Amino acid sequence: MRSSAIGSILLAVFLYGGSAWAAPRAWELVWRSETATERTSVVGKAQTMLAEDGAELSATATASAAQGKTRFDYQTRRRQWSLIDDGRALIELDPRRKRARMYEPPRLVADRALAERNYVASQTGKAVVAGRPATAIAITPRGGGPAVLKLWLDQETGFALKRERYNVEGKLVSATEYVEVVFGAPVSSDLFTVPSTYVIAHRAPPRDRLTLEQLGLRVGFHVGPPSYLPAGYVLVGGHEAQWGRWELQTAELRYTDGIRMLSAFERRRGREGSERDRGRPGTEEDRGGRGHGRGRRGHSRDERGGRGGGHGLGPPTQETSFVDRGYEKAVRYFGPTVVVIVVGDLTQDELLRVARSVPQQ
Amino acid sequence: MAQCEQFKNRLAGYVVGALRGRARSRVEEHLRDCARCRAEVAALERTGALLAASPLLDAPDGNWDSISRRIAQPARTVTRRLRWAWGAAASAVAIVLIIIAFFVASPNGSGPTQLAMSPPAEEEMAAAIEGRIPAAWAAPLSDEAAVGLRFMSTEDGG
Repeated sequence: MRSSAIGSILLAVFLYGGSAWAAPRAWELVWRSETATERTSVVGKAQTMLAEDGAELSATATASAAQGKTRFDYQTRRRQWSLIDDGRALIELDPRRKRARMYEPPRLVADRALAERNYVASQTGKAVVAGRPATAIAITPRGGGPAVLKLWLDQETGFALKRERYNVEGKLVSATEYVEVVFGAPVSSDLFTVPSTYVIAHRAPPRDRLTLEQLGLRVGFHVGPPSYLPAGYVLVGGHEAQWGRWELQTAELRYTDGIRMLSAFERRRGREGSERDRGRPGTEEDRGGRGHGRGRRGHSRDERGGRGGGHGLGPPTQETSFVDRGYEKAVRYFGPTVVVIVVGDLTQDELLRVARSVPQQ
Repeated sequence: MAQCEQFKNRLAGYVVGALRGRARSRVEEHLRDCARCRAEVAALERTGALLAASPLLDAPDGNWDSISRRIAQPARTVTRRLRWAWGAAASAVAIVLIIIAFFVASPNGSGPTQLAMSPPAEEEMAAAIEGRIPAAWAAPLSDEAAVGLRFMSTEDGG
Protein backbone atom coordinates (compact mmCIF):
# COMPACT_ATOMS: atom_id res chain seq x y z
CA MET A 1 0.00 0.00 0.00
CA ARG A 2 2.76 2.34 1.09
CA SER A 3 4.90 1.60 -1.95
CA SER A 4 1.95 2.24 -4.31
CA ALA A 5 1.34 5.62 -2.64
CA ILE A 6 4.98 6.54 -3.11
CA GLY A 7 4.75 5.36 -6.70
CA SER A 8 1.70 7.57 -7.28
CA ILE A 9 3.49 10.58 -5.81
CA LEU A 10 6.54 9.95 -7.98
CA LEU A 11 4.33 9.58 -11.04
CA ALA A 12 2.52 12.84 -10.23
CA VAL A 13 5.84 14.66 -9.74
CA PHE A 14 7.10 13.23 -13.03
CA LEU A 15 3.97 14.25 -14.93
CA TYR A 16 3.94 17.73 -13.40
CA GLY A 17 7.64 18.16 -14.14
CA GLY A 18 7.11 16.86 -17.64
CA SER A 19 4.31 19.32 -18.44
CA ALA A 20 6.20 22.19 -16.81
CA TRP A 21 9.14 21.33 -19.00
CA ALA A 22 7.04 20.90 -22.16
CA ALA A 23 5.38 24.35 -22.09
CA PRO A 24 8.49 26.54 -22.11
CA ARG A 25 10.14 24.18 -24.56
CA ALA A 26 7.47 24.89 -27.20
CA TRP A 27 7.71 28.64 -26.60
CA GLU A 28 11.48 28.41 -26.85
CA LEU A 29 11.11 26.89 -30.31
CA VAL A 30 8.62 29.58 -31.30
CA TRP A 31 10.92 32.45 -30.31
CA ARG A 32 13.87 30.73 -31.91
CA SER A 33 11.96 30.69 -35.21
CA GLU A 34 11.70 34.50 -35.08
CA THR A 35 15.48 34.85 -35.36
CA ALA A 36 16.17 31.93 -37.71
CA THR A 37 17.10 34.17 -40.66
CA GLU A 38 19.72 35.91 -38.52
CA ARG A 39 21.50 32.58 -38.15
CA THR A 40 21.12 31.18 -41.63
CA SER A 41 20.21 32.36 -45.12
CA VAL A 42 17.04 31.01 -46.71
CA VAL A 43 16.03 30.69 -50.34
CA GLY A 44 12.74 29.04 -51.12
CA LYS A 45 9.39 28.99 -52.76
CA ALA A 46 6.17 29.24 -50.77
CA GLN A 47 2.47 28.99 -51.47
CA THR A 48 0.64 31.65 -49.54
CA MET A 49 -3.05 32.34 -49.00
CA LEU A 50 -5.13 35.01 -47.35
CA ALA A 51 -8.88 34.84 -46.74
CA GLU A 52 -10.49 38.14 -47.60
CA ASP A 53 -14.15 39.02 -47.92
CA GLY A 54 -15.14 35.40 -48.21
CA ALA A 55 -12.67 34.83 -51.05
CA GLU A 56 -9.12 33.56 -51.03
CA LEU A 57 -6.17 35.52 -52.34
CA SER A 58 -3.25 33.30 -53.15
CA ALA A 59 0.14 33.54 -54.77
CA THR A 60 3.44 31.82 -55.14
CA ALA A 61 6.16 33.73 -53.37
CA THR A 62 9.87 33.30 -53.86
CA ALA A 63 11.53 34.02 -50.55
CA SER A 64 15.07 35.20 -49.91
CA ALA A 65 16.26 35.94 -46.41
CA ALA A 66 19.58 36.61 -44.75
CA GLN A 67 20.91 38.58 -41.81
CA GLY A 68 17.38 39.21 -40.56
CA LYS A 69 16.30 40.77 -43.86
CA THR A 70 13.57 39.26 -45.98
CA ARG A 71 12.30 39.58 -49.51
CA PHE A 72 9.27 38.02 -51.16
CA ASP A 73 8.75 38.11 -54.92
CA TYR A 74 5.10 37.42 -55.63
CA GLN A 75 3.64 36.02 -58.77
CA THR A 76 -0.02 35.63 -59.59
CA ARG A 77 -1.72 35.15 -62.93
CA ARG A 78 -2.31 38.90 -63.22
CA ARG A 79 0.49 40.59 -61.41
CA GLN A 80 3.99 40.58 -60.03
CA TRP A 81 5.24 42.54 -57.05
CA SER A 82 7.93 42.32 -54.38
CA LEU A 83 8.21 43.20 -50.74
CA ILE A 84 11.45 43.80 -48.90
CA ASP A 85 11.87 44.07 -45.16
CA ASP A 86 15.35 45.42 -44.57
CA GLY A 87 14.87 45.47 -40.81
CA ARG A 88 14.03 49.18 -40.78
CA ALA A 89 11.69 49.88 -43.69
CA LEU A 90 9.16 47.87 -45.60
CA ILE A 91 9.65 48.39 -49.32
CA GLU A 92 7.10 47.54 -51.97
CA LEU A 93 8.41 47.14 -55.51
CA ASP A 94 6.35 47.32 -58.68
CA PRO A 95 8.55 45.80 -61.40
CA ARG A 96 6.17 46.78 -64.20
CA ARG A 97 6.35 50.50 -63.44
CA LYS A 98 9.78 50.44 -61.80
CA ARG A 99 8.27 52.11 -58.80
CA ALA A 100 8.90 51.69 -55.07
CA ARG A 101 6.89 52.63 -52.02
CA MET A 102 8.46 52.75 -48.57
CA TYR A 103 6.96 52.46 -45.11
CA GLU A 104 8.55 52.63 -41.71
CA PRO A 105 6.06 51.00 -39.42
CA PRO A 106 6.77 51.16 -35.70
CA ARG A 107 8.11 47.73 -34.84
CA LEU A 108 6.28 45.92 -32.14
CA VAL A 109 8.99 44.19 -30.14
CA ALA A 110 7.84 40.73 -29.18
CA ASP A 111 6.68 40.82 -25.60
CA ARG A 112 7.44 37.21 -24.86
CA ALA A 113 6.24 37.34 -21.28
CA LEU A 114 2.91 38.82 -22.39
CA ALA A 115 2.42 36.22 -25.11
CA GLU A 116 3.27 33.40 -22.76
CA ARG A 117 0.95 34.82 -20.11
CA ASN A 118 -2.00 34.90 -22.53
CA TYR A 119 -1.33 31.86 -24.68
CA VAL A 120 -0.18 28.29 -24.37
CA ALA A 121 2.26 26.86 -26.91
CA SER A 122 2.28 23.12 -27.26
CA GLN A 123 3.96 20.64 -29.53
CA THR A 124 1.35 18.75 -31.44
CA GLY A 125 3.45 16.36 -33.47
CA LYS A 126 6.01 15.92 -36.20
CA ALA A 127 5.65 16.38 -39.94
CA VAL A 128 7.66 16.71 -43.13
CA VAL A 129 7.36 20.09 -44.89
CA ALA A 130 9.26 20.91 -48.08
CA GLY A 131 11.05 17.62 -47.60
CA ARG A 132 12.39 18.59 -44.17
CA PRO A 133 11.48 17.23 -40.75
CA ALA A 134 9.49 19.75 -38.76
CA THR A 135 7.97 20.13 -35.31
CA ALA A 136 4.31 21.18 -35.24
CA ILE A 137 3.31 23.70 -32.61
CA ALA A 138 -0.11 25.12 -31.78
CA ILE A 139 -0.64 28.37 -29.88
CA THR A 140 -3.97 28.58 -28.10
CA PRO A 141 -5.48 31.19 -25.77
CA ARG A 142 -4.84 30.37 -22.14
CA GLY A 143 -8.46 31.17 -21.35
CA GLY A 144 -9.68 28.55 -23.83
CA GLY A 145 -10.77 28.70 -27.45
CA PRO A 146 -9.40 27.53 -30.77
CA ALA A 147 -5.72 27.85 -31.78
CA VAL A 148 -4.75 31.25 -33.17
CA LEU A 149 -1.51 30.12 -34.71
CA LYS A 150 -0.03 26.84 -35.90
CA LEU A 151 3.61 26.59 -36.84
CA TRP A 152 5.71 23.88 -38.42
CA LEU A 153 9.32 24.59 -37.49
CA ASP A 154 12.34 23.16 -39.24
CA GLN A 155 14.01 20.87 -36.72
CA GLU A 156 17.52 21.85 -37.73
CA THR A 157 17.31 25.64 -38.23
CA GLY A 158 14.12 26.55 -36.37
CA PHE A 159 12.79 28.35 -39.47
CA ALA A 160 8.98 28.35 -39.87
CA LEU A 161 8.31 26.18 -42.92
CA LYS A 162 4.56 26.50 -42.58
CA ARG A 163 2.24 28.87 -40.73
CA GLU A 164 -1.49 28.92 -40.31
CA ARG A 165 -3.34 31.79 -38.70
CA TYR A 166 -6.86 31.48 -37.34
CA ASN A 167 -9.28 34.18 -36.29
CA VAL A 168 -11.14 34.40 -33.02
CA GLU A 169 -13.88 32.14 -34.41
CA GLY A 170 -11.31 29.50 -35.30
CA LYS A 171 -11.53 30.12 -39.05
CA LEU A 172 -8.35 29.83 -41.12
CA VAL A 173 -7.47 33.34 -42.33
CA SER A 174 -3.96 32.93 -43.71
CA ALA A 175 -1.52 30.16 -44.51
CA THR A 176 1.98 29.98 -45.93
CA GLU A 177 3.77 26.78 -46.74
CA TYR A 178 7.20 26.35 -48.26
CA VAL A 179 7.31 23.83 -51.07
CA GLU A 180 11.03 24.25 -51.72
CA VAL A 181 13.67 25.55 -49.37
CA VAL A 182 17.46 25.73 -49.23
CA PHE A 183 19.33 26.90 -46.15
CA GLY A 184 22.81 28.42 -46.18
CA ALA A 185 22.84 29.36 -49.88
CA PRO A 186 24.47 32.70 -50.81
CA VAL A 187 21.99 35.60 -50.91
CA SER A 188 23.09 38.90 -52.45
CA SER A 189 22.60 41.98 -50.26
CA ASP A 190 21.40 43.82 -53.41
CA LEU A 191 18.14 41.92 -53.08
CA PHE A 192 17.27 44.01 -50.02
CA THR A 193 17.70 47.44 -51.58
CA VAL A 194 15.64 49.48 -54.04
CA PRO A 195 17.13 48.92 -57.53
CA SER A 196 18.76 52.05 -58.94
CA THR A 197 16.39 52.02 -61.93
CA TYR A 198 13.35 52.40 -59.66
CA VAL A 199 11.64 55.64 -58.65
CA ILE A 200 10.58 55.98 -55.02
CA ALA A 201 6.98 57.03 -55.59
CA HIS A 202 5.92 57.19 -51.99
CA ARG A 203 7.73 57.31 -48.68
CA ALA A 204 5.43 57.11 -45.68
CA PRO A 205 6.87 59.21 -42.85
CA PRO A 206 8.08 57.22 -39.85
CA ARG A 207 5.30 56.98 -37.32
CA ASP A 208 6.54 57.92 -33.91
CA ARG A 209 5.25 56.15 -30.87
CA LEU A 210 3.60 58.81 -28.71
CA THR A 211 2.23 59.14 -25.22
CA LEU A 212 -1.44 60.04 -24.85
CA GLU A 213 -0.47 63.62 -24.02
CA GLN A 214 1.78 63.95 -27.07
CA LEU A 215 -0.88 62.39 -29.22
CA GLY A 216 -3.51 64.80 -27.91
CA LEU A 217 -1.30 67.73 -28.84
CA ARG A 218 -0.79 66.35 -32.34
CA VAL A 219 -4.43 65.71 -33.12
CA GLY A 220 -5.86 68.67 -31.24
CA PHE A 221 -8.17 66.94 -28.79
CA HIS A 222 -7.91 64.90 -25.62
CA VAL A 223 -7.34 61.27 -26.57
CA GLY A 224 -8.90 59.01 -23.97
CA PRO A 225 -8.15 55.29 -23.90
CA PRO A 226 -11.07 52.85 -23.89
CA SER A 227 -12.05 51.91 -20.37
CA TYR A 228 -12.87 48.39 -21.53
CA LEU A 229 -10.38 46.04 -23.15
CA PRO A 230 -10.60 42.28 -23.57
CA ALA A 231 -8.53 40.35 -21.05
CA GLY A 232 -4.80 40.28 -21.72
CA TYR A 233 -4.46 43.35 -23.98
CA VAL A 234 -1.96 46.06 -23.06
CA LEU A 235 -1.24 49.44 -24.66
CA VAL A 236 1.90 49.49 -26.76
CA GLY A 237 1.71 53.06 -28.01
CA GLY A 238 -0.17 55.85 -29.66
CA HIS A 239 0.27 57.08 -33.22
CA GLU A 240 -1.05 59.82 -35.39
CA ALA A 241 -2.97 57.98 -38.09
CA GLN A 242 -2.45 58.77 -41.75
CA TRP A 243 -5.93 59.68 -42.87
CA GLY A 244 -4.56 61.40 -45.93
CA ARG A 245 -7.56 61.13 -48.15
CA TRP A 246 -9.90 63.03 -45.84
CA GLU A 247 -7.26 64.94 -43.91
CA LEU A 248 -8.93 64.00 -40.66
CA GLN A 249 -6.90 64.32 -37.49
CA THR A 250 -7.03 60.80 -36.14
CA ALA A 251 -5.27 59.18 -33.21
CA GLU A 252 -4.53 55.47 -33.07
CA LEU A 253 -4.05 53.64 -29.79
CA ARG A 254 -2.49 50.27 -30.41
CA TYR A 255 -2.80 47.29 -28.10
CA THR A 256 -1.53 43.74 -28.16
CA ASP A 257 -2.05 40.57 -26.19
CA GLY A 258 1.32 39.26 -27.35
CA ILE A 259 -0.02 37.66 -30.53
CA ARG A 260 -2.92 39.75 -31.81
CA MET A 261 -3.11 43.49 -32.40
CA LEU A 262 -6.02 45.76 -31.59
CA SER A 263 -6.31 49.40 -32.68
CA ALA A 264 -8.67 52.09 -31.46
CA PHE A 265 -8.81 55.04 -33.87
CA GLU A 266 -10.33 58.21 -32.52
CA ARG A 267 -11.28 61.43 -34.24
CA ARG A 268 -13.38 64.32 -33.16
CA ARG A 269 -16.82 64.58 -34.64
CA GLY A 270 -17.08 67.40 -37.08
CA ARG A 271 -20.23 69.08 -38.23
CA GLU A 272 -22.40 66.28 -36.88
CA GLY A 273 -21.14 67.00 -33.37
CA SER A 274 -21.69 70.72 -33.57
CA GLU A 275 -25.30 70.23 -34.64
CA ARG A 276 -25.93 68.01 -31.67
CA ASP A 277 -24.26 70.47 -29.34
CA ARG A 278 -26.60 73.19 -30.52
CA GLY A 279 -29.56 71.07 -29.61
CA ARG A 280 -30.77 70.66 -33.15
CA PRO A 281 -32.38 67.52 -34.38
CA GLY A 282 -29.97 64.69 -35.15
CA THR A 283 -28.01 64.72 -38.33
CA GLU A 284 -28.30 62.22 -41.09
CA GLU A 285 -25.63 60.18 -39.33
CA ASP A 286 -27.65 60.13 -36.14
CA ARG A 287 -30.82 59.19 -37.95
CA GLY A 288 -29.06 56.38 -39.71
CA GLY A 289 -29.57 58.08 -43.02
CA ARG A 290 -26.04 57.38 -44.04
CA GLY A 291 -24.35 54.18 -44.75
CA HIS A 292 -27.38 52.00 -45.26
CA GLY A 293 -26.90 49.85 -48.25
CA ARG A 294 -23.29 50.82 -48.61
CA GLY A 295 -21.07 47.83 -48.87
CA ARG A 296 -18.13 48.10 -51.12
CA ARG A 297 -16.24 45.28 -49.52
CA GLY A 298 -16.76 42.68 -46.91
CA HIS A 299 -19.88 41.89 -45.02
CA SER A 300 -20.58 45.36 -43.84
CA ARG A 301 -23.75 46.46 -42.28
CA ASP A 302 -24.96 49.41 -40.36
CA GLU A 303 -27.13 48.97 -37.41
CA ARG A 304 -29.13 51.07 -35.08
CA GLY A 305 -32.00 50.74 -32.77
CA GLY A 306 -32.57 47.60 -30.78
CA ARG A 307 -29.79 45.57 -32.32
CA GLY A 308 -27.11 47.30 -30.33
CA GLY A 309 -29.12 46.88 -27.14
CA GLY A 310 -28.08 43.26 -27.19
CA HIS A 311 -24.64 44.28 -26.06
CA GLY A 312 -25.92 45.03 -22.62
CA LEU A 313 -24.50 48.53 -22.77
CA GLY A 314 -27.72 50.48 -22.72
CA PRO A 315 -29.83 51.55 -25.66
CA PRO A 316 -27.77 52.84 -28.56
CA THR A 317 -28.38 56.37 -29.66
CA GLN A 318 -25.78 56.54 -32.41
CA GLU A 319 -25.10 54.73 -35.60
CA THR A 320 -22.61 51.91 -35.61
CA SER A 321 -21.17 50.14 -38.63
CA PHE A 322 -19.36 46.86 -38.87
CA VAL A 323 -17.13 45.23 -41.46
CA ASP A 324 -15.68 41.72 -41.52
CA ARG A 325 -12.70 41.37 -43.81
CA GLY A 326 -12.02 37.79 -42.82
CA TYR A 327 -8.59 38.35 -41.36
CA GLU A 328 -9.76 41.40 -39.46
CA LYS A 329 -12.92 43.09 -38.37
CA ALA A 330 -13.72 46.72 -37.71
CA VAL A 331 -16.50 48.66 -36.08
CA ARG A 332 -17.20 52.39 -36.35
CA TYR A 333 -19.11 54.07 -33.57
CA PHE A 334 -20.39 57.62 -33.69
CA GLY A 335 -20.18 58.88 -30.13
CA PRO A 336 -21.55 62.29 -29.14
CA THR A 337 -18.17 63.96 -29.54
CA VAL A 338 -15.71 61.35 -30.75
CA VAL A 339 -15.93 58.92 -33.66
CA VAL A 340 -14.22 55.64 -32.75
CA ILE A 341 -13.09 52.89 -35.09
CA VAL A 342 -11.84 49.70 -33.50
CA VAL A 343 -9.97 47.18 -35.66
CA GLY A 344 -8.86 43.78 -34.51
CA ASP A 345 -9.52 40.10 -34.31
CA LEU A 346 -12.40 40.17 -31.84
CA THR A 347 -16.08 39.37 -32.08
CA GLN A 348 -18.36 42.17 -33.22
CA ASP A 349 -19.78 42.53 -29.70
CA GLU A 350 -16.32 42.90 -28.20
CA LEU A 351 -15.23 45.44 -30.82
CA LEU A 352 -18.32 47.52 -30.15
CA ARG A 353 -17.86 47.25 -26.41
CA VAL A 354 -14.32 48.62 -26.74
CA ALA A 355 -15.50 51.42 -29.03
CA ARG A 356 -18.27 52.47 -26.70
CA SER A 357 -15.95 52.58 -23.72
CA VAL A 358 -13.88 55.41 -25.20
CA PRO A 359 -14.60 58.49 -23.08
CA GLN A 360 -16.80 61.10 -24.73
CA GLN A 361 -16.57 64.65 -23.48
CA MET B 1 -9.44 59.89 -73.88
CA ALA B 2 -12.61 58.24 -75.14
CA GLN B 3 -12.49 56.12 -72.01
CA CYS B 4 -12.32 59.26 -69.90
CA GLU B 5 -15.64 60.35 -71.36
CA GLN B 6 -17.07 57.05 -70.29
CA PHE B 7 -15.91 57.42 -66.69
CA LYS B 8 -16.15 61.19 -66.28
CA ASN B 9 -19.67 61.17 -64.85
CA ARG B 10 -18.84 58.38 -62.42
CA LEU B 11 -15.96 60.05 -60.62
CA ALA B 12 -18.10 62.04 -58.17
CA GLY B 13 -19.95 58.89 -57.19
CA TYR B 14 -16.62 57.14 -56.78
CA VAL B 15 -15.32 59.88 -54.49
CA VAL B 16 -18.34 59.76 -52.18
CA GLY B 17 -18.27 55.96 -52.07
CA ALA B 18 -21.53 55.57 -53.95
CA LEU B 19 -20.09 53.22 -56.54
CA ARG B 20 -20.04 49.60 -55.66
CA GLY B 21 -18.99 46.26 -56.98
CA ARG B 22 -18.03 46.02 -60.60
CA ALA B 23 -18.74 49.68 -61.31
CA ARG B 24 -16.24 50.70 -58.65
CA SER B 25 -13.65 48.17 -59.81
CA ARG B 26 -13.91 49.49 -63.36
CA VAL B 27 -13.34 53.05 -62.23
CA GLU B 28 -10.38 51.95 -60.09
CA GLU B 29 -8.94 50.08 -63.01
CA HIS B 30 -9.28 53.14 -65.22
CA LEU B 31 -7.73 55.41 -62.56
CA ARG B 32 -4.63 53.26 -62.46
CA ASP B 33 -3.78 54.22 -65.98
CA CYS B 34 -5.32 57.68 -66.33
CA ALA B 35 -3.50 60.58 -64.71
CA ARG B 36 -6.15 63.02 -65.90
CA CYS B 37 -8.97 61.24 -64.09
CA ARG B 38 -6.78 60.77 -61.02
CA ALA B 39 -6.29 64.52 -60.94
CA GLU B 40 -10.04 64.98 -61.29
CA VAL B 41 -10.64 62.61 -58.37
CA ALA B 42 -8.09 64.50 -56.26
CA ALA B 43 -9.84 67.79 -57.03
CA LEU B 44 -13.25 66.33 -56.13
CA GLU B 45 -11.86 65.01 -52.86
CA ARG B 46 -10.43 68.42 -52.00
CA THR B 47 -13.73 70.10 -52.72
CA GLY B 48 -15.59 67.47 -50.69
CA ALA B 49 -13.24 67.98 -47.75
CA LEU B 50 -13.77 71.74 -47.92
CA LEU B 51 -17.54 71.32 -47.96
CA ALA B 52 -17.42 68.88 -45.07
CA ALA B 53 -15.23 71.22 -43.06
CA SER B 54 -17.24 74.35 -43.69
CA PRO B 55 -19.31 75.40 -40.66
CA LEU B 56 -23.09 75.64 -40.64
CA LEU B 57 -24.02 79.23 -39.98
CA ASP B 58 -26.96 80.29 -37.89
CA ALA B 59 -29.29 82.83 -39.46
CA PRO B 60 -29.50 86.11 -37.51
CA ASP B 61 -32.19 86.31 -34.83
CA GLY B 62 -35.49 87.53 -36.20
CA ASN B 63 -34.61 86.57 -39.74
CA TRP B 64 -37.49 84.16 -40.13
CA ASP B 65 -39.94 86.66 -38.59
CA SER B 66 -38.91 89.19 -41.15
CA ILE B 67 -39.31 86.70 -44.00
CA SER B 68 -42.71 85.48 -42.84
CA ARG B 69 -43.91 89.11 -42.43
CA ARG B 70 -42.95 89.81 -45.99
CA ILE B 71 -44.60 86.63 -47.25
CA ALA B 72 -47.79 87.67 -45.49
CA GLN B 73 -47.82 91.05 -47.28
CA PRO B 74 -50.08 91.37 -50.34
CA ALA B 75 -48.34 90.64 -53.60
CA ARG B 76 -48.67 94.21 -54.88
CA THR B 77 -46.44 95.49 -52.05
CA VAL B 78 -43.51 93.47 -53.29
CA THR B 79 -41.11 96.03 -54.47
CA ARG B 80 -38.77 95.75 -57.35
CA ARG B 81 -35.87 95.51 -54.90
CA LEU B 82 -37.46 92.56 -53.11
CA ARG B 83 -38.10 90.82 -56.42
CA TRP B 84 -34.42 91.17 -57.18
CA ALA B 85 -33.55 89.75 -53.76
CA TRP B 86 -35.81 86.76 -54.32
CA GLY B 87 -34.20 86.19 -57.68
CA ALA B 88 -30.76 86.26 -56.12
CA ALA B 89 -31.87 83.90 -53.37
CA ALA B 90 -33.32 81.50 -55.95
CA SER B 91 -30.05 81.57 -57.88
CA ALA B 92 -28.11 80.84 -54.71
CA VAL B 93 -30.39 77.94 -53.90
CA ALA B 94 -29.99 76.63 -57.45
CA ILE B 95 -26.21 76.77 -57.14
CA VAL B 96 -26.29 74.93 -53.83
CA LEU B 97 -28.62 72.32 -55.35
CA ILE B 98 -26.28 71.85 -58.29
CA ILE B 99 -23.35 71.32 -55.92
CA ILE B 100 -25.36 68.86 -53.85
CA ALA B 101 -26.54 67.04 -56.96
CA PHE B 102 -22.95 66.83 -58.13
CA PHE B 103 -21.85 65.18 -54.93
CA VAL B 104 -24.78 62.91 -54.28
CA ALA B 105 -25.66 61.81 -57.78
CA SER B 106 -25.48 58.07 -58.03
CA PRO B 107 -24.17 57.30 -61.48
CA ASN B 108 -24.89 53.60 -61.20
CA GLY B 109 -28.55 54.38 -61.03
CA SER B 110 -29.05 52.89 -57.61
CA GLY B 111 -30.74 55.98 -56.20
CA PRO B 112 -29.49 59.01 -54.34
CA THR B 113 -26.92 58.80 -51.61
CA GLN B 114 -26.23 61.19 -48.76
CA LEU B 115 -23.96 64.17 -48.80
CA ALA B 116 -20.54 63.22 -47.50
CA MET B 117 -20.43 65.02 -44.16
CA SER B 118 -17.80 62.57 -43.03
CA PRO B 119 -16.25 59.60 -44.80
CA PRO B 120 -18.67 56.77 -45.49
CA ALA B 121 -18.34 54.06 -42.85
CA GLU B 122 -17.06 51.52 -45.35
CA GLU B 123 -14.36 53.80 -46.64
CA GLU B 124 -13.21 54.97 -43.25
CA MET B 125 -13.03 51.46 -41.82
CA ALA B 126 -11.20 50.26 -44.93
CA ALA B 127 -8.64 53.04 -44.44
CA ALA B 128 -8.21 52.02 -40.81
CA ILE B 129 -7.69 48.38 -41.72
CA GLU B 130 -5.36 49.16 -44.59
CA GLY B 131 -3.35 51.65 -42.55
CA ARG B 132 -2.40 48.81 -40.23
CA ILE B 133 -0.92 46.56 -42.91
CA PRO B 134 2.74 47.65 -42.59
CA ALA B 135 2.48 47.25 -38.82
CA ALA B 136 0.88 43.83 -39.25
CA TRP B 137 3.83 42.82 -41.40
CA ALA B 138 6.30 43.94 -38.77
CA ALA B 139 4.42 42.38 -35.84
CA PRO B 140 5.94 39.46 -33.96
CA LEU B 141 5.04 36.01 -35.31
CA SER B 142 3.52 37.65 -38.38
CA ASP B 143 2.90 35.57 -41.48
CA GLU B 144 4.82 38.05 -43.60
CA ALA B 145 4.23 36.25 -46.89
CA ALA B 146 0.46 36.28 -46.38
CA VAL B 147 0.42 39.88 -45.14
CA GLY B 148 2.24 40.76 -48.35
CA LEU B 149 -0.82 39.63 -50.29
CA ARG B 150 -2.72 42.48 -48.69
CA PHE B 151 -0.54 44.92 -50.61
CA MET B 152 -1.77 43.41 -53.83
CA SER B 153 -5.37 43.54 -52.68
CA THR B 154 -5.34 47.10 -51.37
CA GLU B 155 -2.80 48.95 -53.47
CA ASP B 156 -2.74 49.29 -57.17
CA GLY B 157 -0.22 46.55 -57.44
CA GLY B 158 2.68 48.80 -56.68
